Amino acid sequence: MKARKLYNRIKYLRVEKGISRKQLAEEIGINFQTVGYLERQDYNPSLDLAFRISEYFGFPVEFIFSTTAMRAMSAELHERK
Amino acid sequence: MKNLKTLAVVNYAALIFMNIAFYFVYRGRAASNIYDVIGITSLVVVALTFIPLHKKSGIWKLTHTKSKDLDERELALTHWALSESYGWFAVICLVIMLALSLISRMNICPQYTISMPLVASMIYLSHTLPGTMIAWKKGIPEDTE
Repeated sequence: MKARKLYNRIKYLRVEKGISRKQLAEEIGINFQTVGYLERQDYNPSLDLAFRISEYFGFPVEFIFSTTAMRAMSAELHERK
Repeated sequence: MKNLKTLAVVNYAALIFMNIAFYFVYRGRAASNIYDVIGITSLVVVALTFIPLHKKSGIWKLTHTKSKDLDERELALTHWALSESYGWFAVICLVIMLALSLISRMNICPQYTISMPLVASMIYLSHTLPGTMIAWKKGIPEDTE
């Protein structure tokens, strides 16, 4: 079974928080190269890792991960207004 | 990644050259000094390509770290590399056994048995094949911290 591609907002959330890949990796207990794979959307995280990431950023999993291409966060905020 | 592929090809080609050269040394050909030089030069090439291919790229560390110290992506990657390389290693061993039996049967070198360079090469191969699989098929990204 071929896994579906998962899209995510990890890179934007990390940059917004002002932390490096290494710092994020240490916080969620993975290698910093894995953060790179996640940010490039080359690797689908396990459910456990997805929850650890969402808990770290304080956002629901469905806000960070999606099975469809994600729109820019600013566009979504404009729409809500 | 292309660079790693080239290094992998050179590394294993040198390993094969080394074994062929030492085979001729074993056969005691008249010009065995030439084969000695080729064998030792090939060994140096193996060592020189091993450093950037396995050590500097971090692949050796990845395939030789205890599983409890790897994250889920690294675990999946090493698991894939090990299962692929076990299959290839078994095929390589069987081909070598077939070649040795043919050498013996065709009276090319009846006294030839499994030599020390060949055993050393197989040990080297068993340790480096998973890493070479990763370098060949997946590559290593040059991520910054």
